[in-house]
Order: sequence, then structure tokens, then C-alpha cells
Amino acid sequence: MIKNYFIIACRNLWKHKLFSFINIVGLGLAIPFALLSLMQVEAVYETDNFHEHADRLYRIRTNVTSKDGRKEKTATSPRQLSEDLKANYACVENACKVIRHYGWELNNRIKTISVNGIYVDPAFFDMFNFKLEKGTIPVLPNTLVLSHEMAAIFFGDVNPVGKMLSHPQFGLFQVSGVLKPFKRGTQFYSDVMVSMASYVPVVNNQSALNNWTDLNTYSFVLLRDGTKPSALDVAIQQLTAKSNSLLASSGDKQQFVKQELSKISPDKEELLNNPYVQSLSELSVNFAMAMMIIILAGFNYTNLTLARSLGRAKEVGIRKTSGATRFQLICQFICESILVAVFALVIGYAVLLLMEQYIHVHWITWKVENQVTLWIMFIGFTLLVGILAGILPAWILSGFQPVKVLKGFLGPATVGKIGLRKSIVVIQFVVTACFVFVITHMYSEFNYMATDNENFNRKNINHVSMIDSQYNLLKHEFESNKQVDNVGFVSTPFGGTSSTCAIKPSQTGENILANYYAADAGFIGNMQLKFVAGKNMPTERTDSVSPFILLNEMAVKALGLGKASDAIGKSIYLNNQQPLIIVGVLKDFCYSNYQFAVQPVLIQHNPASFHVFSIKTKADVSNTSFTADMKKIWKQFYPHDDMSYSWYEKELYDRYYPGADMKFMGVVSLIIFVIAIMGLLGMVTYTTEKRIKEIGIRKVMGATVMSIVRTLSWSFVKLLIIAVCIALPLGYLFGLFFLNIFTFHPPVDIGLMGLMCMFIFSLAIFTIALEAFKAARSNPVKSLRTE
Amino acid sequence: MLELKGIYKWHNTGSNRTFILKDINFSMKEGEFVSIMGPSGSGKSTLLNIIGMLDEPSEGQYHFMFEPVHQLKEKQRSALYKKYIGFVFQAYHLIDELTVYENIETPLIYQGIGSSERKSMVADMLDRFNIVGKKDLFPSQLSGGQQQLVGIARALIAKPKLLLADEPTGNLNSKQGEEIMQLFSELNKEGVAIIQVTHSEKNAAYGSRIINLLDGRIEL
Repeated sequence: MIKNYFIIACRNLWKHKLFSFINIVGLGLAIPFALLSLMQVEAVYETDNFHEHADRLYRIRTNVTSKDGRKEKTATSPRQLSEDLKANYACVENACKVIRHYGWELNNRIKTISVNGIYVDPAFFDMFNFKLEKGTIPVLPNTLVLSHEMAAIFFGDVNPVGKMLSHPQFGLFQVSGVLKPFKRGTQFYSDVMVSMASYVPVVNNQSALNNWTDLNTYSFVLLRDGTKPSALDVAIQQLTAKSNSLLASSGDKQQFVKQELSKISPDKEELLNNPYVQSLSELSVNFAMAMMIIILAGFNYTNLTLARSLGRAKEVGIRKTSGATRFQLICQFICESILVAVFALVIGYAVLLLMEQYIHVHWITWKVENQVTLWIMFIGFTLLVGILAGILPAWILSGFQPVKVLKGFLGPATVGKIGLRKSIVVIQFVVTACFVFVITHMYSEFNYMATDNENFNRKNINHVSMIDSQYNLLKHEFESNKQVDNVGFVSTPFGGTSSTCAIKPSQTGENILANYYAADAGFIGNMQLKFVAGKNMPTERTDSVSPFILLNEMAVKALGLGKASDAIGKSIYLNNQQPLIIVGVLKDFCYSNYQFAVQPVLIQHNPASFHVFSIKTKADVSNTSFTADMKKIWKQFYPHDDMSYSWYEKELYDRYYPGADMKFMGVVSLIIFVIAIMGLLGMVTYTTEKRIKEIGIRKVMGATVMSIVRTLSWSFVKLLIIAVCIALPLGYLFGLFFLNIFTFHPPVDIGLMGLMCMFIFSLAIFTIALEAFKAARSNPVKSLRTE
Repeated sequence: MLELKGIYKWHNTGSNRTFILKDINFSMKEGEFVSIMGPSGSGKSTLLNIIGMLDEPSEGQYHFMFEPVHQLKEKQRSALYKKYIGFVFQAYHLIDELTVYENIETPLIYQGIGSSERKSMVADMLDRFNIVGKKDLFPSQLSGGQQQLVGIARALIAKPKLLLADEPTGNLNSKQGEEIMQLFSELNKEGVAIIQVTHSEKNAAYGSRIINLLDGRIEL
């Protein structure tokens, strides 16, 4: 029986190829997102499963009851806890602490990169399976290890061990080693692991009390082999008592709780401070999003199948007169939708593999370990989709009365009122259009940031990192090369975080904060900065600090120096020292982040702080021959060191253009679009099938094909016009809102919006017209014949 | 075999009641061959559908094989007609996506007959109707007469006691029609009771009894 069902299902799919194609592809495009979220679910359960002694590893977390009775559960614990456990309890073989510190930025003199960092004890590397590829673990203050990927980003092929990276606040760090690549699914996910000895508490007061009240540490213990976990409970109880006696004056109470490593993810208790561990609620939100897309696609399947129900009605009638029960027919139709879902799974999986290949979105897990579980979930899910999408058409189709069906008294079946279905079409298109508009705006902002050349010049600029203070000799060599136009020096190129300084207009005035750049006149020329008053600083060849400085308009305003032209020649005080003379005022420009407003900027010739050569090449120079020349010069000076360099334009493009994210968003919007088109197609098919007799009569009366296409299309075109009228203003508002997050942004690109709008809606209209044209061309003799 | 007593069938259109069948009383013995005749709209097909349990009367009693059909539940009714009744339609009504073989097999599947038994039953039927060579063709590849032959083979496959035919020759040319009617009388001789609806006097004459319907009533 089942075999018969599947034969019929296959032949039906094959006979109505276009229809099957639309259904399968529609579902197939929606399924990858569900598969992805199933993968995320599985990955959450596979978090931190690669540590050797996982069965003996525990995290100690804290329940805090504050004196006003508020209870909080946090994943963290006091700094002192792990040390006490290790020192005083025999059941603990080893213990370590981990502190996560947000907002780290490191700089290798050329690139500034935001990194994700944790401080770790040396014992951390004994307890957890993070192996070194090169070098040693970080023990001394201001040492760190880099992840394999981050090492490649900062140093490329050069061996990073022993190299220095600088942090704007904590100074220089030495790279002590590089980690082997490790699995993303870990609560210790980070780009750098910094020695615990470098850790500076926010409240720099290492008193006994602070060590027990600052809940910023993750404490881990390795239980001694053969010890019962209850021994750890006893230890924790004693330490709870100890900490509470210390805390007695504050009124807060702490309760330490142990968590098995394998039970940490997913987080069922909604713990505070639990990064990289997904909670059950986050997981369900994630999954709900994917289900939304599936439901939209499933709804379309239902809608389309019902719209075409007439074609199947005869079969139902015949089967019923042959003795089929309703249940048997329902089974048959569900078999069919399951088959469609299985094909969709195949397509969906292929799409998933393609996405994995071409879209590198770092916040998505693409690989899980247990493939069996994964495929059981995939297939179970597919069956569920098939049943859910098929159950309604199955129910309605199997309810047909054979007498009516076989006599041709029946119209196509449908679900819900026509008004509801029309609103769904409008909603689907508004959502599609808005989504596309948001992507359009994102694209125009990212593209602006990635290719902007208005604020400062990026074209034909090559940055070479300095090793020591021989820069003047090297500059001379560089300049004598015929491919070089101009050479300048700077502390940090624009586009990252700079160091800061304090400036004041008079000796007794109030200090204000300013961004400080050390640069020479050549650099200012390379950047093609615009002056509102004064001129560039003088070209100097000395190694001493120059008293002449440049300010931006904002600095002039903040210092209260009046008009820009009035500021020229005035002196100001830098870091409470000697007065400096303003020689030029720069027009405000975006020197760091496009999101932030312009702050005061001071640029000074200060050779001690020069770190980068800014080399402007001649306009028609090829990148490879230029870098070859530069490397040759470099080797004369530093035979044992590689030259590290980057092309400014490309570096900033890569930094600002989130290619993978945009691709991902593009795929999502394409899928929502396909789903919307399918919904529309379902509606149009339904209506034309319903009006097939009317079309026949009109044709007999002498209507032309064109006039029928017009009649049929108009009601849908109306819906689309409504959708456009809602979507365009909404999209414009989204654009304003989104772009205004950035201080520096292009205007809302109405032209591009219009173009996208045209694209979406002309495709929709094409779909309608095609379907209407097919119906209009049908032979009236056929549609009007009853028997 | 079957008995209809005071059968009425009507539709409500607005406040009016349109009668399709009025006070039909009719009985039939096993092995009879009855022809129902009458002009368009006289209620022939409705009567046939009620006898075939595809439609329900608005009023009246219907006994089939000593069972009170009007009192039976849907499930019991369908069990009854699955066992005893076969249908032949004017427009053949074969399933386009199935081959000749599979079309004939369909009723057996719904009766839960095992696959090897189905095979031999279908093979017998193909043999009997001389369409063995066409068993793998689809309905669209057959002529009208051949399609109707398949339709009859399908109706007979479950060995019904009663064959209901709604203008079985309506879509066929006269030669094909004659062959079908010949087949019907042969079947009747083998003991299958037949009720056919027809417009044609000539075809009606094959039956052992003719019932004339006019405006929903049996003309005596």
C-alpha cells in the first residue's frame, strides 16, 4: 500500500514538474535555516566536550543573596576561591581561575584589531585541553598566547613567538606562544589568553575582603582521581561559611555551587555572566526564528496544494468509489508531502553545504561531532515538516464527495477567508521588501566605510612597520625609489584607536581629552587632509619634538580658541608641559570609528612615537613590483627581519566590509523573497482555477487574451501596490534609523531602494502575468465542457 | 437483493425545495439486468448514486443484501459497497497517473488483499479482457473503448454482485458501444446483477427490465 502511495506521489511530482519544483525548492530553501538551528542545538550540547578529565572537572559558581533579599545566580565566583580549594583540600588535585575581560584591542603597529581575551592561571593549561603549537604558556606579567587564527591575522607567516603587541591601556605584551586550533564550542572561546599575572583588578585593592566580594572569576577544580564528588561539596560548604563570615558586615550572603563541566551547557538556570554558554531560552529563540521561515514556507505548500486541488479531486472520487477510506487517502496525501519534504531536505542540505563553503559567518557553528544524532534530528524534522505541511490539504482533499467530484461540481479548495489570504500576500511582500531595504542600507553604509576616500586618502598608500629608530635613513632609501611619491611617519594610522593626551588653552585652564597622533608633514600630505586655516607643519629632519602642532576644528572649539583662523599662532599646553604653537587647523574628519562623533585631535611631530612608514606610491605602480623593491631596501637594513607591510586601501576595506555577514543576509532575504513569490503564485493559481469557466465564457464572448490577462492580474497588482505603499516609507525610516547610528554616513540611497523595489515587484508582476496568461490562453471548449 | 421504499431526494434552493427524486419504490433480485432510461435531469444518475451508496436519500428506506442502508454508519456502508458493488462511469474515470495494471489493482488494495493474490487476480482479469499487452500503458495512451474496458475490468476485479454503470457507452462510438453491451450481457449471464443508466433504446434493450424516469418519478 505504502509503495503504491509513493509510486503515485512520484508520478504526480514528475507530471507537474513546475509545481513540484516550486514546492520542493521553496521548502528546500527554507530548510537549511532549520538545519542550521538544529546544528546549533546539538553544538550547544557538545560544548567543552574535548577536555581529557571532563568527568572530574567542576566549575564552582555562586548564588548571591543581597541584603534586600534579591537573589542572583552567577556563573562566577570570588578570586580567592580556587586558590583556597587548591591549597587546603586534599580532594582537589588542581584548580585554576579564568577571568574574561571585554573590549580588548591589540595593535601590531600596523593593524589594530579587537580581540576576545581571557586571563588564565598556568594551571589552566594542565586542566583543559588547549595545546600549544609554538612557544610556551603565558606565566610572566604581560605575556599572552594567541589563537592559531589570530596569530595568522597579526603576523601572517612570520613566527609570532617573542613579538610584541600593544594594548592602548595596559601597554606592551609579549607573545609567548601560539595555540593549536581548538574547537569553537567552548566557554573559553578567545583570541588571546593572557597570563593571570598581568591581571589588574578594576578596584586595585587586593585586600582579603575584595578577593571574596569581586565575583568576576570563573573557578575550576579538577577532582583527585577516585575521590567522591561529595568531598568537594564539603569543601564548598566550608568555604561558603568562610566567605559569609568575611562578608557579614556587608549583609550579602554567598552560596557556592558546583557544576559538572558537561552540565554547564546549555544553561538551564539563566546564570549571569555566562558568556559562550547558550541558555535554553536563547536556544529556543534561535530555533523559533528558523521555525518561522519553515512555517511560512509550509503555509505556501499548503496553499499551493489546495489551490491545485481540482486536479486531484477526480482521483479522490475514483479512489473513494474503489473503496478507499478517508484515512487511507489522508495517508496517501501525507506520503506525498513527506516525499516533497525529503526532496527539500536533499536540496536544503546541498544549500547548507554551499553556504558553509562560501559564507564564513563566525557566529554560526557549521560542524557538529555526533553525525548520527544530527541526521536523526534532520530526518525526524523533515518528517515533521512533511506531515505538518500535508495534513491540511490531506484532510480537505480526502473529504471530497465522489458524487460532486466526478460530476465536476466542485471549485478548488482553500483555507481561510480570501481577505486573510490577501493580507498574507501583502504582509509577505512588505516583509520581503523591508528586509531587502535594510540590507540595501547596510550595504550602502558598509560600502561607504569600506571605500570612503573623503575623510582621508587611502589610495596608493602602503604602510611599513618600523623596527627601530633608523627611520630617517630608511626613509631616504625609500624616497629615492622611482616608484615612491612621498614618505611620511605616523604613530598609528587613521582608522583605529589612537593614544590620548590632555590639552588646555592656558597654564591655569582646565585640561580636556584629545586624541594624539605623532606624525610628520609628509604623512599629512599623504592623507590629503584639508585645512580650514593655517598650513601644514614644517618639514623637519631632527629627532627632537617639534613645538608646532596641528589641531582639528573640534579641538579649537573645545579649547575655546574662537574661529579657526584666530587660533593660528596661539599656544596651548600639552600634558601640562611646555606650550606648543598651532600652525594649522584641520577640517573635522573621521579619523577612527565611523560610529563615533569627532573628538579633539592633536597632531605633532614627535619622532619618539613614530611607528609606521606611510609610503605613497606613484599612481600607476603595480603592487607586486613595489613591494619587491621595498623588501629589497628593507633587507639592506634588517637582513634578519621580514618587512611587515599592508596596503591601506585593502586593509580598511577588509576591516569595514563584512562580506560574509552580507552574503548571509543576502541569502536570507533571497529565501524570504522566494517564499513570498510562492505565496503569490498560490493565490494566483487558486483564483485562475476558480475563474476558469468565467475565462471560457469571456473568450466565447470575444475577449482577447490581453484583456483577460489584465482582468485577472489587476486584483493582484492592487495588492502589490498596497505592499509598495507600505514598504517604501517603512524602508526609508529604517534607513534613516540605521544610518544615524553612524556619525559618518551616506544619505539614504533612494535610487538603490527604488531599484530593489522595482526588481522585487516586477518579478512578482511577471509571476502573476505568466499565470494569468496561461489561464487566458486555455481553450474555452475544454473549460466549458462538463461531460 | 435490494429494495427502495419511498425514496425522496431534494435540494433546498433558497426557500424553495427542488425535488430530484419523488417517491421511488423499486426492488431487484440477484442476477437481474435493469436499464434506467429518461431524459436529461430526470434523476437517473442520482438514483444510481443512491443505489451505489455514493449519495444519500433525503427520505425513505433502502435495504441492500438485507441490510438497512439508511441506518448504517459511513464505515459499515463503505464496507458493504466495497464488497458487493462495482462502478463503471461514462468518462471512464481512470487514474491518469497509474498504469492499466495499477488502475485495475486499486480496489483490491483498498480491500486489504495480499500482493501475490492481487497479482493473480489482476492477471486473470487482464487475460479475460485481452488487454495483457496493454498492462503497462497509461490511460492517455489508450482509445476510449479500451479505457472503458479497463474501467469495467476495475469494477469487476473485486467480484461484485452488482455492477452500476452510468451511461457506459456515452463517450464511445457505436461499434465500441456494442462491444461493451455484449460484454455486459455476458457478465449478466455469469450471475452479475447490472443496473445501467442509458439514453439509448437499443442499449436499454439488453436489460431484462426497463425503468423509465420522468421528473424524478418512475413512469409505469
